[in-house]
Amino acid sequence: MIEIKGLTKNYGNLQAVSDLNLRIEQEEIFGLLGPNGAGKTTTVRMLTMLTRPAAGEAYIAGHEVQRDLARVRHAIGVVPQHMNLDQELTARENLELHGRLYKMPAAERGRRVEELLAFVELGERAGELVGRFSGGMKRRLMIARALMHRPRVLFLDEPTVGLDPQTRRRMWDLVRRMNRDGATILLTTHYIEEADALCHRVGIMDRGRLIALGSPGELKERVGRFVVEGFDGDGATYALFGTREEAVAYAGRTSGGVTIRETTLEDVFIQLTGRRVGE
Amino acid sequence: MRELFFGWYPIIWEEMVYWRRRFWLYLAVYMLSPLIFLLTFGYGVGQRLTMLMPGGVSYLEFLVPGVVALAVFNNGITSVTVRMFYNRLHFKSFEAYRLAPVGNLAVWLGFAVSGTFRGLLAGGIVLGLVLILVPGFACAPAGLLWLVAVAFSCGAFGVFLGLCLRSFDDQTVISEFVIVPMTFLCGTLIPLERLPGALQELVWFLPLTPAAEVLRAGFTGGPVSLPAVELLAGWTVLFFVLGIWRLNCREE
Repeated sequence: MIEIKGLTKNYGNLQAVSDLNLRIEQEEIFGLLGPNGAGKTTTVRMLTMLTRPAAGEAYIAGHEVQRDLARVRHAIGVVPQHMNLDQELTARENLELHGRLYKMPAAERGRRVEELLAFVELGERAGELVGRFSGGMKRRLMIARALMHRPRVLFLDEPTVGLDPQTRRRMWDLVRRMNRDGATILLTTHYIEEADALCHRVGIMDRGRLIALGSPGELKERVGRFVVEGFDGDGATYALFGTREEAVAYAGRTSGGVTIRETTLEDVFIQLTGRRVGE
Repeated sequence: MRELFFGWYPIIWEEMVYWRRRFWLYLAVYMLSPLIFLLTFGYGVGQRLTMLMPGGVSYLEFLVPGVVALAVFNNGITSVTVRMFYNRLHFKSFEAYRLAPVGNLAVWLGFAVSGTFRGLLAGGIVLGLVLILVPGFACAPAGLLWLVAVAFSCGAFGVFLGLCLRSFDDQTVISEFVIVPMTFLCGTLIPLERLPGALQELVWFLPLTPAAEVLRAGFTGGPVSLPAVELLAGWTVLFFVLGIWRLNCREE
């Protein structure tokens, strides 16, 4: 559904994305995981034609991104990291405007607006100005707007950034429901648990490069399923093991308190880069 | 053609939603400065300026088309510039047009026509005021057609400026270097013949000068100067080309 070949973007001397190659299958939830500045948002901006790549090409639903703008724009829905709703319109008017921009016939537009307002549980607030909405409500409305024209591919750029844990869980449910309804989803996140909970496959990006690719389970398997975490006076220590038995045996040989736990994607990231996701 | 229509129409629709919500505010705002100009310049200082007027017309007769031109110019430009500035840089909602299957020509046209409508609303309000406050004032029908042309040119100017702004400071620069000088120098409040020597020629390089000239001739039913029309058309084409160029530069 999405094919990326050698996508590259430079900002002056800074290589924001470097020779990115990736294939995302239909109805997959694919996560681009990495710290701030890893190149995730730049990748999404290139795929959604908001930024021109320096090199490389990309195809979405069989259409070349740089050449077939109109078809690609009909095929994609985008929820950017920042709020980009018209604050002076109501929730219903924002969706209405989107439907008009996508040339939806009036009757279908009206039905779809009501259906999506119900989907994101904003039906009762539909007539209120968006400027009065909370962050979570705006985020949900942005998702509804991205779905208005029934896109086959959805780009969600840090969809839960700045949301409280409860709203974040609701957003996850929405993402799963959209995927169940047939959407292919590319989401970027720097929340480890989000990628773990939602994504069929994850690509880990660091400094503009894709450094690992696979399902969360495969990536964890690659570095070891269990972690023995301790503290040696200078800082935290991590040792990764393929089986619980190996981890327990290692812990037994270690003096001081240690914790044995399952590997997370953050451990994978640390193992690959020597840094934590937030660093 | 269908693509173009469906592209620009939603932008106008959005503008009309703003109108519906804030019509009375627009009415009050667009009425205020023309009313002040008419009262201070027209009925105040203007009463004593008859002898300075070229062609022997009363200052009030001279002032009315100038105030209409000013209202169209200021509001046609500012409405689009401010809307684009906030949509692009503050609310980021301009991105919605960039992500939609809408061409740059349609986006340009949508915002230019929005500015045209605001300019026409402001101009219409001033004309209404004048009909009440200035006894004996009559507007030739051709003047209304020229009003549309001037308003469209102002809308086009507003789109270009709106796409150039990058910060709040830029807004101040535009206000101080574009709007204020043109307000006083382009033959709207003071006849060009009364400006200092070289300035009389230089102000023809400003877009409001031909706009005011065309409106003045149009309202009085006199012959409209061809060079002024050509200049107005030239400015509009230039704003169109510059606006499309800015839209083609994707924001990084």
